[in-house]
Amino acid sequence: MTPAVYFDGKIAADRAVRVVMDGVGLSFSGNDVPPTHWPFAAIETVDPYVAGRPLRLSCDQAPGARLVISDDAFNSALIAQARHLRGGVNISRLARLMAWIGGGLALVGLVVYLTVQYAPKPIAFMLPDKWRDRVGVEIESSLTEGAKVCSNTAGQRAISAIMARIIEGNPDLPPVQVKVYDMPIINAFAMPGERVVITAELIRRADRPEEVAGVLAHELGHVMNRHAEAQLVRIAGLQVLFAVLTGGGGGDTLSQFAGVATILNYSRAAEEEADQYAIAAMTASAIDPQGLKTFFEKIMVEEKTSAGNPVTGKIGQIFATHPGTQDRISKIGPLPDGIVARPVMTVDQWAALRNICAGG
Amino acid sequence: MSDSHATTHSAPGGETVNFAYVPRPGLGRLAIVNFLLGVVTLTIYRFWAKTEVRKHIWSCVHINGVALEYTGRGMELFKGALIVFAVLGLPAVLAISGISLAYGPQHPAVAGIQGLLLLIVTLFWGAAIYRSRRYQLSRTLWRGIRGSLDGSATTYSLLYFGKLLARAITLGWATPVLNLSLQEHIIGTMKFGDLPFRFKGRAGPLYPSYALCWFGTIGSFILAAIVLAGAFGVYFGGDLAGTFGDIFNDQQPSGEQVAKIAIAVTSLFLLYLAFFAIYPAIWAYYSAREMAIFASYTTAGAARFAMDVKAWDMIKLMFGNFFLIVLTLGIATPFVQQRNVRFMCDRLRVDGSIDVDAIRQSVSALDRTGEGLADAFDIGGL
Repeated sequence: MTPAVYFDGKIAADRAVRVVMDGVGLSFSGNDVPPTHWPFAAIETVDPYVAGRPLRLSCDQAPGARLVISDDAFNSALIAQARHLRGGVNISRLARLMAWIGGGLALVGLVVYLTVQYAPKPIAFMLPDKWRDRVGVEIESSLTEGAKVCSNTAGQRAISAIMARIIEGNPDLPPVQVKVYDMPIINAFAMPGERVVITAELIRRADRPEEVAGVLAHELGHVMNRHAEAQLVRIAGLQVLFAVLTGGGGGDTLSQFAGVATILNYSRAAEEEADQYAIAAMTASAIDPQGLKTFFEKIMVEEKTSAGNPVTGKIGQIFATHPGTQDRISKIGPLPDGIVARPVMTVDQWAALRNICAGG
Repeated sequence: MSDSHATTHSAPGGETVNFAYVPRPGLGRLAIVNFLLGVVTLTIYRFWAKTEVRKHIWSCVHINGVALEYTGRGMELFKGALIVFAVLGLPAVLAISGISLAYGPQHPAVAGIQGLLLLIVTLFWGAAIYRSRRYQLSRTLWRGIRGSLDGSATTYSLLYFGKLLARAITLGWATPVLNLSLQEHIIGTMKFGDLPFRFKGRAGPLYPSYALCWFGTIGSFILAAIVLAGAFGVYFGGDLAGTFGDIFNDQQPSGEQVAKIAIAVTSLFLLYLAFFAIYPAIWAYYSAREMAIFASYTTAGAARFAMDVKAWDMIKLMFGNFFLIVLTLGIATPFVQQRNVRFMCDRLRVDGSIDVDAIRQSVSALDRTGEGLADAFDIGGL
C-alpha cells in the first residue's frame, strides 16, 4: 500500500489514494476514490522517469486522470515490472515516424524527378496556341526591353530569303516570326509561340550568310521541339512541388527564379536536339552546315575571354557555356556526298541583311 | 517541489497560487536531436520537435508544486499545416503557375495573386495567433484539468488587422489602446477548466511609458543625425562638399578621398547596425510596463495577477536570446523558449486565493489539429 496523489480529470482537486501493484496493473482507492484498476498496457508515463522525482502516470481508459507516485522504491519496482513506463524517447515510434517522413519525401522526390524529366515536353505540345502566343509576346518584350527592332524592307526580305531556303527542304515548318533586335550582345533566342529573335550584333559578327542561316536553323530546332514552352512547364511544375515540400506559398521565391534568364537557359540535351534539327534541316535544304560550325568556333574563342550571362552577357547562350561544346562542334560534318550546297542568299541580300538596322 | 502535497492545503475559500520554473535535464540533448532530425527530414520533423520541446518546458513549470503537462501531438500540428497548405498554399501556387503558363511569368496577374496572398496573410495573422494560443491552452493540463480559449478567432483577427492599420495611421500612438483590446480578447475568453479569467482596465496608464519610448526613439534619431553631421564636418573638414561634389561631377576622387569616404560609409553602416540594438532597448521599457500593467488587469476568481518586470530584465532576456540563436545557428532555440517561459514564471505573482479544488474540467470542444496557420505564416513563439 503506497500513498499517491490522484487527479480524476473531472475536477482539479487532488485526492490521496493508496496504490498496490499486482501482476497486471495498478489498483488504488481512497476516501473519495472508488477502487480503480489501471492495467499496465493502458498506462503511460507523462514525463520520462527520473529517479528521485515523482512519477506521473496516465491511463488510456480515463482521459485527463493522473496518478502521481512519489515513493521511489515503488516506482523502480513498477518500472522493472513494466519497462515501457520508463518513458522518454520511444525509439520504435520515432523510427516509424522517420520511415513515414522518409517515404513521403522519397515519393515527392520521385514525382519531382519524373515531372522535370518527362512531363514538360508532352505538356508543351498540349498548351493552347493562344497561351503560347501570349507568353511568347511577353517574354520577347521583357527580353528585348528598350532595344530597337531592325526591320528595314531590304533586310526583312533577306531574312525571308533565308527562311524560304530552309523551308525548301522542310515544308512542315510552321510560320515562324523572326525578328532582329539592335542589342549589344551576340545572341539568338527561341521563344514560345514560334518566335525567334536574333541580335544585330550576331549578324555583324557573321562572316557569311551560312553562319546566320546555321544559327537560325538551330533556333528553329528549339522552336520545333518547343523547348521554351517545355521549360515554362518545368518551372511551373517545380514551383508547385517546391511549395509542396516547404508547405508554403512559395510563389515569391520562384517567380524570381522563373525570370526570362531561367526560361531561355536550355539544358545541354535541348541544345543537342536543336543542333540535330539544324543539321538535318540544312542538309534537306542543301545549305552548308559549316556555317554553324565556324560560328560556333568563333564564339568559343570569345567565350574563353568573357563570362557569358545568358541574357545580358556579351556572349550569349546559343552555344551555351556547357562543357562539351567541343563535342557539339565536332558533330557538325560536311553535307553528305551527292548533295551540293547552294547559296542561302544573293550577295546583295547579304549586304542588305548586314544593314538591317539602318534607316527605319 | 513535490507533486504529492495532497491534503496539505485546503484553506477555506481556496489557496494562494505561486509559479516556479524547475529545470529538468535533457533539453540540450533534445535540441541537438531535433536539429539533426530536422536536417534529415528537410524540416518536416519540426512539428514533432516543437511538441517534444513543449512537453519538456511545460513539465518544468510548477504551479503550487504541481507541474504543467503538454498533451499535444506532433501529428496534430502536421495535419494542421497540411490543411492550411491544401486550402491556401496549394491553390495560390497552382494559380500562379497556371497564370505563368497562360500569360507569362511577368504578367501583372501573378503579382496580383501574390498581393492577394499577402492580404490574406495579413488578415488572418491574428487568427493564426489566436488559434495557436487556443490549441496550446487546450493541450495544457494542470491537475488533470485543461485550459481553453472560447472566443472568436475571426474577431481577434479583425482587431489585429485593425491594429496594423491604426498603428500606421497614428504613427504608433494607437498601439497601447489596441494592444489592450487584443489582450482583453485573449484573456477575457480564456478559461482554466470552468474558471474564467477576466481582463479589465484602462489604456491611460500605458501612455506615459509609450510617450517616453516614442520620443526617445525620435530623440535618438535626431541626436544620431546631429552627432553624425558634426563628426563628418570635423572629419572631412571644409572638404565635405568638395569630396562629394567631385564624385557627383564624375571626377576621379583622390586615394585619400576614397579612404575617407570608405571610413565614413563604414561608420554609417555600423551606426545603422547599432540601431537594431538601440531601438529594441528603448522599447523594452514600454514592453516591461505593458506586461506589468496587463498582469495587474488580469483576475481569476478572487485573485489578481501581478508581474514585477523591469526594462533591464527585458533587455538582458532579448540580447541573451539573440546571441543564443545567432551563435548556435538556431540549434539553441529550445533554450530561448525555456528562458522566455522562465522569465514569466520568475516574475508572475498571484495576489489573493483561488478555490482550486472546485475547478471542474473544461467542456470546450477540442480541435483535432492545431496551428496550421501559425506554421504557414511562420509565427514565432513556443
